[in-house]
Amino acid sequence: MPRPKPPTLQKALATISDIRLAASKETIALDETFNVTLNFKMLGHLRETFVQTAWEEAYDAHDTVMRMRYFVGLDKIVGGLFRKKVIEPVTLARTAKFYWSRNPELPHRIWVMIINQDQIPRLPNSEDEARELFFNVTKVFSILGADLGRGKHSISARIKAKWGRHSFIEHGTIQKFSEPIRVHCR
Amino acid sequence: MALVQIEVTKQSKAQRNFIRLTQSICPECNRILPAEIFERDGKVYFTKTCPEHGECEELYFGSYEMYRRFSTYWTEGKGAHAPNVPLEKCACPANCGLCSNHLSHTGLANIIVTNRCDLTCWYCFFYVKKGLEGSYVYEPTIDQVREMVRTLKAQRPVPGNSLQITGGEPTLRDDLVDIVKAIKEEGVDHIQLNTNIINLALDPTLANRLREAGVSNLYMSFDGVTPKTNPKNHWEAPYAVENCRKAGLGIVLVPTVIKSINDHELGGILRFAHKNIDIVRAISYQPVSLTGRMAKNEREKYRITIPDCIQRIEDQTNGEIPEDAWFPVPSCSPLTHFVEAFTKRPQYDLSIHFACGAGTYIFEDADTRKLVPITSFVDLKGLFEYLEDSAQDLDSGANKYLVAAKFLGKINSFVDKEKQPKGLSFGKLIASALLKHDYGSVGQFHLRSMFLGMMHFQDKYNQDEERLQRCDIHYLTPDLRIIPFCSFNVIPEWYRDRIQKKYGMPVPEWEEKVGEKLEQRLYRGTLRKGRHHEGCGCEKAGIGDVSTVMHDRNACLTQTVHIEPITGT
Repeated sequence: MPRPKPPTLQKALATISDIRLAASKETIALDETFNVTLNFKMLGHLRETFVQTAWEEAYDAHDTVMRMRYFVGLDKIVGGLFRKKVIEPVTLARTAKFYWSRNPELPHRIWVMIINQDQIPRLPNSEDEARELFFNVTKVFSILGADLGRGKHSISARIKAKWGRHSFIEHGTIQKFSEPIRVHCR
Repeated sequence: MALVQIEVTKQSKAQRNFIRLTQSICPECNRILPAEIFERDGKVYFTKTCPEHGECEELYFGSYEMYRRFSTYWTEGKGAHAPNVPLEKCACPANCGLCSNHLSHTGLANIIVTNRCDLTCWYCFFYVKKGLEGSYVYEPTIDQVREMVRTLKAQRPVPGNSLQITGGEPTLRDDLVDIVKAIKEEGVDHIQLNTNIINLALDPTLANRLREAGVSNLYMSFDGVTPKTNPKNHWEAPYAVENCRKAGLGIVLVPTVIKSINDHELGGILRFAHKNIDIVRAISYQPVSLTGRMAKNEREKYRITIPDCIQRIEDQTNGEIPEDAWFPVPSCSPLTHFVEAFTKRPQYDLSIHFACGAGTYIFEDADTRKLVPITSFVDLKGLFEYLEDSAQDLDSGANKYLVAAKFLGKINSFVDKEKQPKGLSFGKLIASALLKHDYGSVGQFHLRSMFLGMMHFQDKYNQDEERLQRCDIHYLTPDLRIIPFCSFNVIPEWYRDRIQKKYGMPVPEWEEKVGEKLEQRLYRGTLRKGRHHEGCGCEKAGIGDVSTVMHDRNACLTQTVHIEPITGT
């Protein structure tokens, strides 16, 4: 079904914030595998409008599925300027389904189900929980020391987020890189 | 006097993992109640407590893992924009018909053309029984049928286009062919006939007449591959299949699955279908709906759910059709969303609840003749996600020709050509069905495959309002309402019985009017075990050999045909 354009057509205000990248070890051996954990949040208008009234408005327009696609990968910074991919971006897709709940304890008719990238469905108890489930992302990458090579390396995460047009938000794509972390491979 | 100790709940409640709350009805008094769905020992249960009649706990879904996987395909339909009953008088499940609270348009509409049947199966809830107080013969006229079909076609945003003629046994209506023609004239593309096929076995011309009138396929009751599990038409089925083959009339086998009765023959039914794959288009396994009042131990004896059936099919086919080949019915919604976004027109959407039905497609390898489930060579999950994302891109203003071109370039990346059955090009088939999006191309897809489906109709013990609200199998009634299946049959005192009383006539009155006794049309087992009507005049060679003689109900025909009886393999 064609969806009505939101009343204001300016691009949605969204930022990728609170980016944290942390390695499980600062120094590793060539044959050793270590983990790099990436955390970030989507903030701004996109997050703020993700509330029950918006879900209901979308639902009433038969707009019942919203997908957030996060593309995350790791780069090695070479020569302080150039980025070389260490881990190709993977897609973490999260789906919000706006549905009519018959839960007599919910104060609202329309509620949301969030399905994360591991296909685990969650029924949040509050709008805050729904936003956390949809917009807070954690991804753990496993890297073999040999993939980096001997020496000191700067590693940075590449993050891209994409979403479609809905009755309460314009479509958009944003991209951001994390601050680099240093890993020494012996 | 010893105290009565009830010790059901203490241990079991400690092991409960809450899933969600919903609403249901009390199986005794129909009072609307809150109900809890929870996991215990890897299964999903349902419990509700009536202040008057106490707690009722029931198995809801036989596997929590499958429940979780299926629930990710939850989808919301478009509903019906032209409600037939006013909203202010509705409180699900009261006054269904449809109202604007209903979330699915009609996917398949049922028209009951008679509630008479020539069989008396013990588990069936749907035939008029003589001698019962308040027994009515219900047979709408052709004009009433036309009005009902017009109501279906008037539905918006998606006019109904798929209809099942049901009963009772519809072939007991002498004017059945005229009814089919009338429905076709009203513009319905897909007409399915729900039948026990006795009359199609007995009358070799009936299949052809029905096909020519416009029936698309038969919905053939078929409960097993042995006389014990399928006494109703074990001996007759091969004749009916042969007659349909000659007429080119497709068949959907419909086993009602009852635990401890026929759940050990689900694989055998599939093998029978495979043997007749040229004419059997699908199997629709239906876990039994436990109607009427039934004690808990009796319910536990018979209750079987969708995951249990899927598990048994995997076991009984030696893993040929594995558990993960099955997807819930609403999983096909991304296809609908894609076509809608592409065409900017509302499309048929199978938006039922994920716990109501499941399905998979299987294909026959042209070389090995083995059955190959679609999931063994297509990444369905990836395809669905890609289509959902493409639909969002289209809705966000992407150029539809670019999206279509990208889709055509991408489709084969979801197909493992090494594992794809010989003689099949899935990419072409699905691209044609999605981009042409008409009845013909979808039909082509079904001709190349066999659909395995599962549909678990509810009963008063497991009735879930969230499921009911999303039901897309509806009944058309002469008062021009469109009533969801699980209202119509789960609460017959509010729906089915009232309709039949209002628009039917008492059995004695009907008998007097037509000059025939109700029991006169009961099937006497003409074809069973090779027995014949006395003095039927069969060829001597054929007498006693069920595999060589074809019969007519009143006069046995002398033509011979080679028909293999069903074996229990």
